[in-house]
Amino acid sequence: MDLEIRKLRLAFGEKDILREMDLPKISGNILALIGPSGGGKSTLLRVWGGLLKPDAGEVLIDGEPLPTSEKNSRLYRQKIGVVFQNWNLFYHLTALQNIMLPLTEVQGVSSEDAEQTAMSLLDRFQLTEHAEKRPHQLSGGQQQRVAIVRALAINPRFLLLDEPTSALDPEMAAQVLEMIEEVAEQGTPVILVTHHVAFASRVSDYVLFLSEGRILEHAPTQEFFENPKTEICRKFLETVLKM
Amino acid sequence: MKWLKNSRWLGLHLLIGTVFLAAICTFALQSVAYQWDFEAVWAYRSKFFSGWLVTIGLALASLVLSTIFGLLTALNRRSPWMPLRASAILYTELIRSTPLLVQILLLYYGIANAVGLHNRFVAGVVILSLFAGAYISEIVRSGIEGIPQTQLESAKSLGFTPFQTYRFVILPQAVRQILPPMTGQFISLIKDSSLLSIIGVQEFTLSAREINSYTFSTLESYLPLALGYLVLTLPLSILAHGLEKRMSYGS
Repeated sequence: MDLEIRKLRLAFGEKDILREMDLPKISGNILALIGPSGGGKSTLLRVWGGLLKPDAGEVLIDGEPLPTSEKNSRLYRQKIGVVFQNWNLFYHLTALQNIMLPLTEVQGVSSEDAEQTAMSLLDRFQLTEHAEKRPHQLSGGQQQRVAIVRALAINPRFLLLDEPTSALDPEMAAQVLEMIEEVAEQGTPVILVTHHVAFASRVSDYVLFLSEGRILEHAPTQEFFENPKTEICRKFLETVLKM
Repeated sequence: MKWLKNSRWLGLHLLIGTVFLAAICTFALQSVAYQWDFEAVWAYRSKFFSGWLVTIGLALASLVLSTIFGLLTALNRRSPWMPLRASAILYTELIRSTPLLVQILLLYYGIANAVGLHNRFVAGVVILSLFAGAYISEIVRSGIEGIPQTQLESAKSLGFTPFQTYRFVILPQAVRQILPPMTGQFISLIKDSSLLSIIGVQEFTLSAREINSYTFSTLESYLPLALGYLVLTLPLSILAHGLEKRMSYGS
């Protein structure tokens, strides 16, 4: 997947979140977004997800600019998978219904095919026994794994994950990270915002370091961790990798 | 069926309370040596019954109309157009800040007369619905606003249209939040309809008051009145309790 950003700006009211963000064309299959809180990671992810409209600038994915009209944005959103920090699953529906609903209502798949797709994915990620459970009957980690299955079920162009493990305890987080690794290995491009820097260094092939609304550094993963260029980045890595 | 068991507990508590209350009343009546005479009142039983039916009719018709008022007001409050929002807020605040009795008098002798609405039953239903609608709009509003933002963002990220989001996410989730307090609102409607006796709607309370004036048997007229309301409201109360248990997500 190729990504490129030109002079991207986005503000919430008076507050600038992304300020003149630039990124020359880069390629990666598993991109990690890391950096201190409030740096604009989640906002940038929402721009890529077609959920937030930039105030100015251009964002290109595989050479194509993001759609601007609401209708085209919606069509674009139908082709990518997004998983947020928590409360992804519709809590009045079972895990299976959660996965099937976008397939039947948005993707135009028959309910037999939708059920087959959903069940085979649940099976692949050892979640079959939870198919009939509602979100409140699932642990936080199980909820996130079902949410990832729901995002995968539509066969997305790529997957956007916004701190999918930050609301989980370490053991559950490990299970979710393991699943993300498996998904990425099977070829679906992934962009991941995460606090698990060690995980990012092991699994990703490209890293973007965001701070105060700008991409401060970006490099292939190995290069990035071996040779951080800025003082802010060095300090950040020192702090998080010590833990 | 856990909620059913809980409802039984509620029933048991109510029963104990009733027995206790009855004991106190018996004692009080004995001390004033009240002479019971149900015969005079019994002669008017069909009047009681027809009044009771009118009360049920009032409550049901008002339930439908007030739900419509409530839904429209709640949607207007979410409207992007300021005048709609403002009028919805004005309506709810005016209604919730004045006594129902005052509203009945003003709306009936003022507005209903002015527009030539002389059917007391219809006027009563409209007034009661305006009153309950303001409360229902708040119930609906909090039901919708109680849905976490991420649920809506998830729907959006999956490519749902705004209509699909309402249809598949907001409505089914809001209904769960709304149903228990709506049952409580229906109970209030039944009780509040008694105030319509003041403008001469031939409902249950007016029947009892008339029977009292014919027979001079005060308690014999008003005890059946209380019982008649309880028969309607108690089952609803138990239902509301059960719904609350069943509709929660166990969190």
